[in-house]
Amino acid sequence: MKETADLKFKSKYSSNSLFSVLKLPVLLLLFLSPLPAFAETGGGVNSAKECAMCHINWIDVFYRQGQSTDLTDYPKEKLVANEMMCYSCHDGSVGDSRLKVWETSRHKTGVKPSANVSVPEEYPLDKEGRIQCATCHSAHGVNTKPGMAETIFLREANVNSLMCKRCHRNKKGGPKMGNHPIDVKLKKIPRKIVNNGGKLGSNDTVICQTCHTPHGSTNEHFLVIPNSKGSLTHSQLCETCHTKKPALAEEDSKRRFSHPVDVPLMEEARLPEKWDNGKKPYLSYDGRINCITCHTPHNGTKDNHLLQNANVKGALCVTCHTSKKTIYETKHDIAKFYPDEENSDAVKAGEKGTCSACHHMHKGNSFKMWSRAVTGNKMEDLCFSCHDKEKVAKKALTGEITHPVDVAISGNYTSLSLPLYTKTGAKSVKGKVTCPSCHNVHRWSPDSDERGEKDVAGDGENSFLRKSAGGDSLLCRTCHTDKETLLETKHDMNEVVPDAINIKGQNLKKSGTCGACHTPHNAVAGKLWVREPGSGDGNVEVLCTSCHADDKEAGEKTTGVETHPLGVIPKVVDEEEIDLPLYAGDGSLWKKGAVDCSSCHDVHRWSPSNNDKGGKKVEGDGNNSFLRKKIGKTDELCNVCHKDKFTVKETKHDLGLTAPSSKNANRETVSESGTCGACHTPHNGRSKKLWSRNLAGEGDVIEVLCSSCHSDKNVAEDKKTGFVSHPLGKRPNIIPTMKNMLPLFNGEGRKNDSGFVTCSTCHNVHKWEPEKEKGPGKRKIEGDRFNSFLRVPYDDSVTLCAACHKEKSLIVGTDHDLNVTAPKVKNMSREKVADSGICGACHKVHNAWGNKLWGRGVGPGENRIEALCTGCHSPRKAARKKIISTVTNHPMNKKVSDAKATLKRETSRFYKEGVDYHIETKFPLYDKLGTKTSSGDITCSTCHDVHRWDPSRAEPGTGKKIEGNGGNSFLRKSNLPESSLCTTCHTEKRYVSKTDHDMSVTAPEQKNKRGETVADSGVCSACHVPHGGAKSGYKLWARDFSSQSELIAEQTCLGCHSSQGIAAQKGIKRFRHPRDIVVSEVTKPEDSNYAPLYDISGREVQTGIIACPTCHNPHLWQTGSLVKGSGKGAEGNNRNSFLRLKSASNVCKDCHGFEGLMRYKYFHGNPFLGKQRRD
Amino acid sequence: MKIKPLFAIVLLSVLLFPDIRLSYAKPKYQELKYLFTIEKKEDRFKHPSDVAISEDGLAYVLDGVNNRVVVFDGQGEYLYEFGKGGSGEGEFDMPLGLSLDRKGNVYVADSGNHRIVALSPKGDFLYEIQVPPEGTKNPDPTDTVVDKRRKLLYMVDNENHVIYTYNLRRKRFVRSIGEMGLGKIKVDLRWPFTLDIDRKGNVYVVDVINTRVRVLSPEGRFTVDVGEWGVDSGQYFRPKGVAVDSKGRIYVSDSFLGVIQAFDSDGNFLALIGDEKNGIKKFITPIRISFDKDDRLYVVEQFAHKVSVFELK
Repeated sequence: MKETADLKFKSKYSSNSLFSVLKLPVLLLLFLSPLPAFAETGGGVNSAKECAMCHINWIDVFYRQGQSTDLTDYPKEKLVANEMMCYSCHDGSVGDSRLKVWETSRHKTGVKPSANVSVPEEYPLDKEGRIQCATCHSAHGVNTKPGMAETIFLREANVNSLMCKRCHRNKKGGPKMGNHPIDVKLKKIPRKIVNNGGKLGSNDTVICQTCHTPHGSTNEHFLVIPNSKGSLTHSQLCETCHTKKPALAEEDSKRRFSHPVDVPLMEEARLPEKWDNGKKPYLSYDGRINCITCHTPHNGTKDNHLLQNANVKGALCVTCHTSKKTIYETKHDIAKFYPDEENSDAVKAGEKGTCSACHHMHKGNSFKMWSRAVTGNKMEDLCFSCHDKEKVAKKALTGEITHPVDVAISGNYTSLSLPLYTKTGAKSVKGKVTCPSCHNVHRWSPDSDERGEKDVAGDGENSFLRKSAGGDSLLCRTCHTDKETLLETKHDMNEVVPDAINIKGQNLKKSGTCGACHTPHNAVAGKLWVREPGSGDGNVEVLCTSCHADDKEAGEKTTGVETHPLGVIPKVVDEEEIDLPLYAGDGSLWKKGAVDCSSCHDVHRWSPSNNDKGGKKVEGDGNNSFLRKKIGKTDELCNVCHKDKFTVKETKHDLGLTAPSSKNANRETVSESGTCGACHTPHNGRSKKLWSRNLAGEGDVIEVLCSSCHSDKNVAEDKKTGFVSHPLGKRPNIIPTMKNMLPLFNGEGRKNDSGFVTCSTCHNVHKWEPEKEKGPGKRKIEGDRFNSFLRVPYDDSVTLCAACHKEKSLIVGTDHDLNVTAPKVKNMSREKVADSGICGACHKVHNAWGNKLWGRGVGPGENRIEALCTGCHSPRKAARKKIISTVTNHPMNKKVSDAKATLKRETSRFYKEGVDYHIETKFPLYDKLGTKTSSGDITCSTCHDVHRWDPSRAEPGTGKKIEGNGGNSFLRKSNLPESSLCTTCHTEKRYVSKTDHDMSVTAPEQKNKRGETVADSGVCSACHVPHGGAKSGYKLWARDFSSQSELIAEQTCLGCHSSQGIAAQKGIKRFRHPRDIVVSEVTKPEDSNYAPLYDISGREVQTGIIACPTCHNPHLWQTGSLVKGSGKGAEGNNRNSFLRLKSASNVCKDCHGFEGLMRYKYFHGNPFLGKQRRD
Repeated sequence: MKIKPLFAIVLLSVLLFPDIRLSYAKPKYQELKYLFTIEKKEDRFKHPSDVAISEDGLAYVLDGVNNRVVVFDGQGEYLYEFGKGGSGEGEFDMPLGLSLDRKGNVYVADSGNHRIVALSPKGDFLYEIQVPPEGTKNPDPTDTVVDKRRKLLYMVDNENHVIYTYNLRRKRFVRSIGEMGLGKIKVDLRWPFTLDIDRKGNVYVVDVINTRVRVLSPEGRFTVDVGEWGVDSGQYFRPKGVAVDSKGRIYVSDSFLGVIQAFDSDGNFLALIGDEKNGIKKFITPIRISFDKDDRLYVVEQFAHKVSVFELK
């Protein structure tokens, strides 16, 4: 254009002279002067300031003149988009990009684009083909309003990161192409990204610049938020949006639902040098994993979560989790064996691989990123997602009785060789046992590379165990360290029964030592038992009897019939805890539970105090035998429960003191057996009470135990009970207040309120003195009524005796209480009553002198009872002032059956005659030996209760001597005012009451020979006294005998019915039936009209003399009528007057016939009487 | 015809030696002597943007990207520093300029926080002055200067092209001047950036894109424009820094060309900083310049992250 113009110019002005001079140089000047690189811009060069502000090369002096200036040299290069040109404004003077562009990361400049980048032509590179600012930036790219302020300095409008996509074409396509999705709408805009310079596309979509910024990033890859910078351990950019993957809200949540990040790489990890995509594996600061360790937003696996490496069959997982490779081809390789099994996302195991069958990297249902459906929130629930009915592992269930899970281990652990887990699935020494504690679910066999077979049952050497449970059961012993003591003891089957098979059919090699008896799953009984349970009541007992039973492995070690009770709750637990295990009904430990075998035995430990293992052939004793505590020497074990029995220590029953060399039936001395063991043995007792001594003697179940020692040629032969001793085996009536203190026992030797008396009723063999806990020790002392192993002291209240013999306690304070009447008198044991006690004054509990446990001397008497009484009631004896004479006393030692007929008639109401005659009265009869029997004799105790002073008052005595009367005097019945005692037997004699012969009616002030008025003596005793009557003893007469007759039968009558008698007005002066007439028996004694005949000594004879009583019954006023008197003196007639027969018709006539009547009238009529009077 | 050979020679000379100026006069230089450099080897400056020298010779260097002021003695030895990133007291957000009053109090143009922050010489926060939001953009203070005699503080709002005058005694704004313009109108400004003041109270404003230095009288009127667009002596391509020495000479730096030029108080070009032997002195992006009381020239070489100190002859 310039040339054309020049030619035109030349033609027009060719004639001009000046021009002709100048034209050539001018033309040359114009032609040859350095022209600007016009072709560079294609036109549009403008030296105007607004253009030249950046296009400095266009300034005239440079562009047109090609010259340097004083300020600057001619710019040889294009400076328009030179970095410093940009800086000249972006230094804060127009815009401040110092930080964003020059002090932070920015898009690369000065480098050639890599092969992954395809720069379009319209994005110019510099001369060397390198990226420059001007590649992306231009003031002329986007149409804007004129002016610097409005100019957008980009090649084109960068809507939705268009400019990025123009070059970085391999970053498009989204996940299908292995790239992070772009142009997708976000559900929620993370403010953090925007606040850090990230931009969103139209409609809030993710674009390149959401994560990247070409300028201003201080982070790697020009990220607005770093992922892998410096000391970062988290992929912060990823987490800004992907907050749930992983769930990082809580520390533990990392391990719960999502693969953890910010954790050190596992030691077992084997990262490759490069991933398949060529990238080097990334670990953040301190070698920690984060998102981009496994993922990459670009160049990741296509359509597969943008992984660094394809995770075919878990290949990516096992890059780090190398140890988990052992899962392949085991039963837990679900992808192999159960390829159609779906996880909770309905993804088949065969499609996604082994790991994904159970684990989901970021959307776990539970711990361990579990990808299977779970129904609980515990670690074991992960296992149950398969090992459950109707689930894929329904053939491998744990059973009802299985090793506990979700339990803590007792003891302090600072390290674990088996992991414990917290409730969030994290391993922790403070965690709990759960399935993975024992099982490594990724490895079939702990000690080999075996993978197992799909349908083969495992055993203790595999089964995904972390350690082998076979052999010496290393797995079990890891936690149950206290059970290691079992090894090499008799309970170690390897020692005693090496070919033992458990119920699962496993030998010891397979099951392991522990497995011989226990199994962690599918046990058949408590304690994870895996042997056939035996018999018994306790939950533990049946386990022991698996072996300790006849025909079983330990058949020679059975407990026997008499063995320590099981299933009982020690009383001591009501007050305190004991340090022996007790068990609830389900076999679980319970502080208030019951005793079982394991309460005393630690089956895993031979000796409680040392590491002695015992041996196969070593016989145990109280110092070992798998006891939890010793029995020998210290009796620790027994003392735990039977504390109350330890009062036996230092008593005479402590054989360690009194007979240290004695041996029990097991041939053990006390030092071997222990104090308790001297007499008791927990198993195979010889008798009740787990007796361990040889039995001796006879008697009830308890008595024979005592006799083991308290018998001839035995340890306590000097302390026998004697031939006569307190009766045992009887059922007393113990007063309620004493029932708890004096136990009765049944035939099994157990306490029973309905039981019988035995030694242990009165004696607590474990306690010397009831009020003291401690025994007398080695002191040789003789016991007394306050100790002697008595349960209750035999005090002066006779508490002990009165517990059963309550009615006998009324003796206290009476005349029979020797404290009152004879305190100095001694019994046969040379004891005063102060020593012996009130009862003991007369009775000896042991070594008595005859029946009634008599402890005093005896006196004369035909009957044992009588002899006991006369032991005191005789001359020179304690009760010498109360002597009982056999002559002047009521007949004793007489059988009622031997009584005369009249008495028999009287007692006919309650007298049964015959072979087995007996008499039923309230008053006991006794045989000769003093035994009560209804066919016995009358004796002292028939009428007297020697323990009770007053029959009408059940009270002890006053403690003072008292002279008795008919109302007390130890009578069983009072004779006051009615002679109830006498008339109990002499039934017809009661009708004398209220008649003229009743002194209370006719002569109340008159006294008998004992000086008693009828008020003192009673009606009968006004005339008759059972003791101390007439010397002759006739009729036990207590009044005077008249001398007016030689017949004693008349003397008694005439004693009153005479002029000197008290019945003088009824005296008989003249009549006297002839004496020289001997009459044969007219009537018989059993007849109701019996008229007795007498001999001169007053005996009733068959042929005898008529005396007063022949016609008169002095006890019956009304003839033939059993009625009492009226209570008033009465003038009689022939129909009463104590006549036996009605005189009008019977008297005389019965003897004299009809003529007798005439004689009667003669003698009793007026002519006679008149004659008599005249005489 | 004698003219022809001469013309030919001239023509050939022009052709062969394009550097020969037709209208050529040798530039005048003002020589300088390098004294020392102020910089931090460790924890270096990041594009420092200003320096002010106190009455007692301490150099306050504004290291805005690091949000701090670093203080050196008269020999360039480090003394202390203050400030950190933020918007609180004693905190900055990419500050761009500072100045000192007679007492040595520091007035920092805290650009990112749209305010002026007053601090003690030791950096203790005194108070802040919010730049009025009267423009269309957020206030963008890039420099301050103190009229010590009149107790006035001048601040420049770069984005809104305004100069504010603030009465330090009364603590209020007294006037403003400037609007976006190409320079055709008296009050036009286009990205005013830095300030300085002479003894008479004239404020010198570098109007960057209008490529001039405008003189603002104490009365608040623009009076003189110093320099013009261009790449030759007395011209600017990217004027940035302005400083007035004790004799009233005006020095202006060009950050792109890397030169400093001197003008008289009337705005006439005096000299180029450099020497005849080496030519004009080339600095590395000299964004700011300041004089101490001894007329030593401090040059903030921004892209080199240092302050160079010279003695002018």
